[in-house]
Order: sequence, then C-alpha cells, then structure tokens
Amino acid sequence: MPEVSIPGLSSLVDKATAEKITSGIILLMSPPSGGKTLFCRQMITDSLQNESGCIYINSSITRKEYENLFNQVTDANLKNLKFMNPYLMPINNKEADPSASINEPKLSATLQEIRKTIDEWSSSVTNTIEGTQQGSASAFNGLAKCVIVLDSLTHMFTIFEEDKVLKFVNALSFIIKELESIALITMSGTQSSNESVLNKLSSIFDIVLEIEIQEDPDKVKRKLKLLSIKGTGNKSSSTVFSIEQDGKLKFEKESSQKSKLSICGLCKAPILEEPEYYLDMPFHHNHVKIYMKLAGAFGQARVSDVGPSGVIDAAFFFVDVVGLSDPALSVRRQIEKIEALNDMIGHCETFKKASDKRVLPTGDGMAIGFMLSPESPLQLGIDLHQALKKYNMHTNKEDGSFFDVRIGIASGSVFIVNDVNSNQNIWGPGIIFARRVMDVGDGGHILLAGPLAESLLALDDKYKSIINLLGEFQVKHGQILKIYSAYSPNEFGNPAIPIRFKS
Amino acid sequence: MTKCIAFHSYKGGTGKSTISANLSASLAKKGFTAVLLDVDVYAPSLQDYFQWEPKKSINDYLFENANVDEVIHDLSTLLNKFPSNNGEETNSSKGKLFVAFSSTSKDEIYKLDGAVRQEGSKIQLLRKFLMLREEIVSKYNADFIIIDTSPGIRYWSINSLAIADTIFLSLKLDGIDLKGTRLLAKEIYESLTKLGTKSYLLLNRAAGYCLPPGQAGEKTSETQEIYSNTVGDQKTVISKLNEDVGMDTILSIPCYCDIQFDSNEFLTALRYPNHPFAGNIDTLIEKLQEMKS
Repeated sequence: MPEVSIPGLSSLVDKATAEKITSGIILLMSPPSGGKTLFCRQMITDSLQNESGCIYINSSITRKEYENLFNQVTDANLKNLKFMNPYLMPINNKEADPSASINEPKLSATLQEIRKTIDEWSSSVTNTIEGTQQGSASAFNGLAKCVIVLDSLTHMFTIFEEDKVLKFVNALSFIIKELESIALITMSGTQSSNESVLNKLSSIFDIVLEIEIQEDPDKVKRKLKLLSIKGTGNKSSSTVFSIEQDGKLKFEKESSQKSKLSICGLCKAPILEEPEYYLDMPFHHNHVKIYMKLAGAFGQARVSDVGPSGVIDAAFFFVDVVGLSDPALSVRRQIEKIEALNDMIGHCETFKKASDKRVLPTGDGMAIGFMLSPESPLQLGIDLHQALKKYNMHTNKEDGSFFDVRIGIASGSVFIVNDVNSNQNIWGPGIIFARRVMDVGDGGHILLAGPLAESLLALDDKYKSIINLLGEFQVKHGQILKIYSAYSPNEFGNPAIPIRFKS
Repeated sequence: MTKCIAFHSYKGGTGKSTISANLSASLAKKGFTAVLLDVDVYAPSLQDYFQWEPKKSINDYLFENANVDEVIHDLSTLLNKFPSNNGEETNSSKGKLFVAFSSTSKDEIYKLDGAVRQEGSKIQLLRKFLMLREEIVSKYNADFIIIDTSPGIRYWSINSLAIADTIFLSLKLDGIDLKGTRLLAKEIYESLTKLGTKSYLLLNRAAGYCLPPGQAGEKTSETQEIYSNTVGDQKTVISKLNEDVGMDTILSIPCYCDIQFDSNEFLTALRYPNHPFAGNIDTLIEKLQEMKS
C-alpha cells in the first residue's frame, strides 16, 4: 500500500492505526499564523518524495507566490505538482462539468482541471507499465497516490457563495473516493468557530485536526491536535511542533498515549492527563512553566533536585479473591467475582476520591498504588470489607457465590518501567512487599507491612485500636517482614492468626 | 480566572505582610474572593493581623496532616466588623476572605526547614505546595490568591514566585534595599518575567506624608526646603531604579507614622477606610483590575 504523508500523524496515533490510513479527507483547522500553509507544503513535499502526484488548490496566492512557496522542491518532483487558483481559473464553458451541478463556472472549471490532471498522470503511469488497468483509480493504485490539498476553505467562502463551495468540496470528495487517495482541506479558526460548516460537511471528513497556538514569551508554540478519526477508537491526542527557519515542521516528541503513565518532571506525581514536554521531560500541563521558572531562578542543575526520576514512593493496596482458581468454581462464577470486585472497589469512596493512584489488574485481583496518602490503602480495605459484607448477604458458600478477599498493604519505592507494549508501568519493592504481605493472609485478612503500619500508628491514635502486631514472618527469598493485622470485630478484617503464620 | 500575586522583598520589614493582608481584606470588601497565604514560613505574622489562632496551618497541609479545607480559614465575618467608607456598619458585598496561616510553632518551623534539606521530602513538599494552589483555584473559585512570602532568595519564596503570575517587590528607599532589589531583579526576576510573570516595584514608607520635624509643627522655609528636596530626590531615585531593574513602580506608599507606631498590627484598610493608606490599597486594587481586564 502506498504511504501517505500526513505531518505529525505518527505522533498522534499508534503505528497500526497510522498504517491503516491510506485514503480519506483530512480537515485541518488553525487560527491565523498557526502554520496551515506550511503544513500543506510539508504534506505536499513529503508526498512528492514518496512519488505521489499532488494538486495544490489555493485561491489566495498567485503563481509567483506558489513558486516561491515550493522553490525548494526539485524539478523532478515539481513535474508531479500542479497548482490551481480557482479564483484565477480560466472559464471554458464547453468543458464545464454539468454533473457537478455547482453552477459556479470557476469552481466547475477547477474540478475539470483536477480531473484532467489526474487523467494525464494516469495515462503517463499507464504508459510506463504495460498491461496495467485503465482508469484513474486503478492507475494510481499500487503506484502512487494523488494528493489534493485545498488551502483554504475559509478563503474560498470569501470569494464564492457558501453552498457552491460546499458542493465543490462534495464533488472533490467523490474524486478522492474514486482515487482511493487523500485530500487535505484547511480552514481558519477553531472547531467551535467553524461549527456551522463542520455540521454540513461532517460526513465528508475522515480525520479532523486542529492547530492550537500557545503563547510563550520566547517563541510561539504550536500544538497539533487530533480531534477525531473515523473508524477507530482512538482517543484525542496531540503533539507539539515548531516551524524551522526554512519553514519545515518539526514535531518535538511522539505524543504519549493516555494509557501510558508518565511522571511529572516537577512534582514527580503520575500524569493522568496528556503530558506536556519540555527538554524531553513530561510534565503536568500546569507545571511546565513553573519548572522553567524554577530552573531559571535556582539554575538548571539545582532544579534537577526536583526534576524527573524513574522512582516514586507510594502506598500499595494488593487484593485477590480467595479460592478463585478452585477447579470446582465455574469460569462464569470466577468472572462474576472478578467483575464484582472491580465494581465494589470502583464504588468505594476512598478509591473515587484518590486523584493520584495507579491501578494494575493482576488477574484474580488488583494492585493499587496511592501516590499521595499512606492512609488510603487501609481505608480502601475497610471500605471494601464493608461493601463485601453487604454483597455476601445475598450469597452462600454452597453454590460458590460467597465472596472473600485477602488484602496486603505496604509502602515503598517503585520504578517506572516499560512493559512489552511500551506502556509505562510501575514495579518495585513497594508493590512486591504488598504482594508478599497479602500472601501471608487468609480470607478476610487485611495485613500491613511493618513500616507503613508503624507510620500510621504514629500518625493518628485511631489506628492504635485497629492495627495489631502479628510478629515477624519469613517470606520469599528468606526475607523477614514485620506484619500487622488490621481488624475491628464484626466490622472489617479478620482477628484470627493467619494459618501460614501459625505454621 | 484566578490571579496569583506574590509579595516579595529583598529584606524583611518592607511591609509585605501589612500590604498583602490589607489588600486581601479590601479585595474581599469589594466583593472579590481573596485567599491570602502566609508563606513567610520562617517568620509568620499574619495571625496578629487577623487575631486568629488556627488549629491547622499550611505546615499541616504540606505534611499531609490536614486537607485544604482545614487550613483555609474563612474570615469573611471580619468584613462586617468594621464600618465601610460610607459609615455603614455592615458589609453588603458578597466578597469572601480566606486566609491560610503558617505555623508559628518553633518545632514546626524547624521541621519544615529540615524537610526541605532532604531531597525526598523536599519534592513531596513542593508537590503539596503546587497542589495547594490548584486546590484553592478549583475548590474556592478564588479571584485572587495573595501570597505573603519570606524575604530574600529562599526555597519557599522562590517557589511562591514561581507559582505567581504577578509579583510585587516591596522595598524601602534605603541604600541596602535598593542594592538588594537590583540583585533580585537580575538574579531571579529576569528568569520569571521571561516566562510571562509580571513584576512591579512597590515602594513603601516613601517620603511625602509627614513633614520633617519643624519647630512646634511650623512649616518653616527650612523644613519646606528639606521636604521638597527629599521628595525630589526620591523621584529621581525611583526613576533611575525603574530604569536599572527594568520594572515599573506600581505604587508608592508613603510612610505613615500612625501605622508604624501602633502597638498592634491591624487591618488599617478595614478599620479606617478613610485613612490615606486605605486609599493607596484602593489604588492598588484599581491597578490590579486594569491588569485583569
């Protein structure tokens, strides 16, 4: 499949999605000075290098301006680039295309010129390859794309009546579909300011992009945002780019997908929204400027004290469903229990309120890292036990519906690691301790690792009545852990000594 | 949109706390929601202005011993305590005055000072400090966050300047303060203003209110001459200072002896709304509103 060259696309969608985009119509919106025309030029020059034929439609520039715009394109590539200005398009009534029903001679003539150009390219391609199929679509298919760039629709509206321009775009969309090729159409303004036109043309556009300008005292920062893409479940994403002195677009960084966990270079907390990048470091949107200010005030070397790190400290909650792998339990029942656990935790107030958390599913349970509060894991354990109590009022042990969990709680450092899908994940002593502590317990136990339990006991007297020392226990690899059990009879936890502890 | 203003200075005693407390109270009196933060963590003094003993302080929030609602104190009732300009006893505005105090406990001050010397806790504290601003913006719908910072180049004052969008550098017109102000402007402010922070000089205790001592208060030609020379010299100094540091002077507040020598610090702008000091605070508010629009 021939490549399409959409600037910044690889930063906006994953590789698999990018590879699927081989044809369609892209709308690019941008405020004035956003770089629409340079974006168009980049797409055209990249496409020419990929041996595509390009048609550049611009109603606001002269031929001379067009030549200046593309003066860096080699002569060999230039022969595959055709410039058209609908406003200056000579009208030839005989050649006007009645099927288009545009009723605007210059727009009809432009459409005719587009078709004529494509036919010329088709025949030249066909001439060089004996035995290939006739017709424009088949000729481009497998050999080269035809890329049509219309810059800009907004200017066309100032010259021609709106309904005629819309009909022109509609006719253009059919040409693109016939060719299975790609078109870029630009508009000035934003999604909201173009709402009316977008509503009328929404079915035509396959991809909608928007450039956002971020004012910065030093330089203008531009962000290319993917607003929508047909046929994929892609979430919105964005990437920052700059315009080089020679007018080329430079995309700073591949955007991080929302599923990835990045750590803010300033506050070192996980970034739950889309990160901003500065010096290749991810930041919370609000923290980039503060980081830059601190770097300026303290000096870059000093500010690195509060800079990025692959290590974060957190308190962990590890839970699994007791007896889930029991062969007597049907798969349906197992799934019911996992779903019920997810649902119960999702509805716990502690879980809902904690903004800085990371959830890692483990199959028969989950691990949750709380980045801010050491109290959250225990509170979540208590919330979960109370929810379970209500749930179990409608279950019984005989049919396997009775539900029990064991919980391990610990704190410590974790490292940011990349998993096989290149997603950032967390792994380290903190999460491992929580797992080891949980493994010591039986159903109903809420067990805590020594350091976290002791810090809670020091923090608030209320914990003294519920956190009880069990003693030291040797876990995997001979490691000895001091373990506490949290319980309040008939409310939460399990006052019994864990079986493993007794042995 | 919340405007975040930090009051800073090179030396102590330049009037940061007095002006920031009075500004916050006056903003609230005029119908705004103002949140005043005492980030002068080494020498907190705002408790004296508001005659308030908080149960929880910013220190508790930073060490995760309190949530934001526990450290932000609603002192809006103060607005009704003093007559307004027209002599009415009550405040009819819908303004709100919130204040978060720093702990005055010696142990808490040592604890905070010690914690910023350790990398791990320093980062946690900075994160919480950033969160404090964000929580105030989102939960309190504040029009203004006013930060009273520590003087000089210190960890918490620089962090305060970094999260502010406007800085008022208060100074007295003495030689040491002028020298220090030039240093701050060059070493610190330059990097902040490059990134969009607006910074202004705020002259405090300038000449112009009280006449120099004459004989039995008589305006002799000699005292008049000294007075004119002092004020004239001051104008030259200010003009040169603005040029040197590349900052405009937003306001020049004269030295008011009746404020300086009162045994208790107080909210002059609320208590004596017709005092010229209150007029200066009103001027500052007008300038802030011009900036906002």
